[in-house]
Amino acid sequence: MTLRKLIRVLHRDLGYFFFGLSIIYAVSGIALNHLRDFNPNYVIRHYNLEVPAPINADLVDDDWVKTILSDYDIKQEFKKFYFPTEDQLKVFLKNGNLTFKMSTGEGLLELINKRPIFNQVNFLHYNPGVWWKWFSDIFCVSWIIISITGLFIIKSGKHSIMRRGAIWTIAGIIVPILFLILYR
Amino acid sequence: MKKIIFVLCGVLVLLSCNNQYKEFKNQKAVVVSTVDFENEAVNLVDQKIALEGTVTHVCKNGGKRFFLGEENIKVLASDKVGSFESSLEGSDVIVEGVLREERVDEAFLIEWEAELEEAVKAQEKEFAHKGEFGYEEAEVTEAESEDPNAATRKQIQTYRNQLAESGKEYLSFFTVEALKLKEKK
Repeated sequence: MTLRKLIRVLHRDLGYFFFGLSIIYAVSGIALNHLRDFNPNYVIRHYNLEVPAPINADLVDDDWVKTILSDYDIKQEFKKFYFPTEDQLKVFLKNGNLTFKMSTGEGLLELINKRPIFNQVNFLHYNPGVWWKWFSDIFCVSWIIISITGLFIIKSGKHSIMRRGAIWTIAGIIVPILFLILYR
Repeated sequence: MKKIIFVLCGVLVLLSCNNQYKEFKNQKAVVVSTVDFENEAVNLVDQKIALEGTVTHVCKNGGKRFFLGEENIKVLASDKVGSFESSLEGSDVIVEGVLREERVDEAFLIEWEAELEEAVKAQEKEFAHKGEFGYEEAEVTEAESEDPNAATRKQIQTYRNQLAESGKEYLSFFTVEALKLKEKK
């Protein structure tokens, strides 16, 4: 096999094989870039409510909690409750929780649902295990190969690496260097 | 193409043999009660332990940590258990993992303060993990909140005060790196 053919085969086949993973990392990369703007993993909604105060810890049991949930039309399944502090009551629900300030009766309902697509791609991006860690390392090495072979796909002519291609490549390297100089 | 896939698979198999938790594979976990955790932890550092309790909070940014029991024992994800679902909150679980100790001494606090001087790094640390070694965040007054690093400065001072009160050379913060997690239904 000639070098030119090897370049073409590597670029093509690695490109095909890692197409899916490239999309996964690109989408989750966008999400992680905007971590301060939104939670990519979960859609979290908050609702305020109020119950008669003060809440007497001795009277709080499963039935008391279920009555509150029913009174406020909270349909999430009740799991259990506990007292994180002397003045707090926390109720765990399926897909959420409800926290009360016992002295005032103020409550905060937090409903948590997975954000479709982003939750799944982020799960993979965060390396869910040993095998995935090494597989994603192989992916990164392969992307280096795809990038380098991409420079030489066009053999000759005005769009090759020896002409217009060189300008674009150098420009692409200068951008991150400029950021390093300006922001470091 | 077949050769590429074959090589990739071979490399994957070879690399997966490298397991940082190999030494704990056949070790029996020491069962610890969450109530006695603080007292017994100091004798079990770097050993495999098993804890049972209710998950009180799961980090919703990446799911890399959760807190167990009213004692708020911090459990971290590892190569073995990559992340934790938010739906674990309120569930009773049995977790096996390696107990690790993080020591905070005066040198650590001085270095932390030095890092605060780099504004960008400080803001990233503050955003990502406020109150890193404890569950409760340091509260700041309105006047203090004008300083974006106020919470961290206050946290450092809190640790310094705790260090002085304890009379010890360092404070110990214990975490568990999860190797196995089972939810009790």
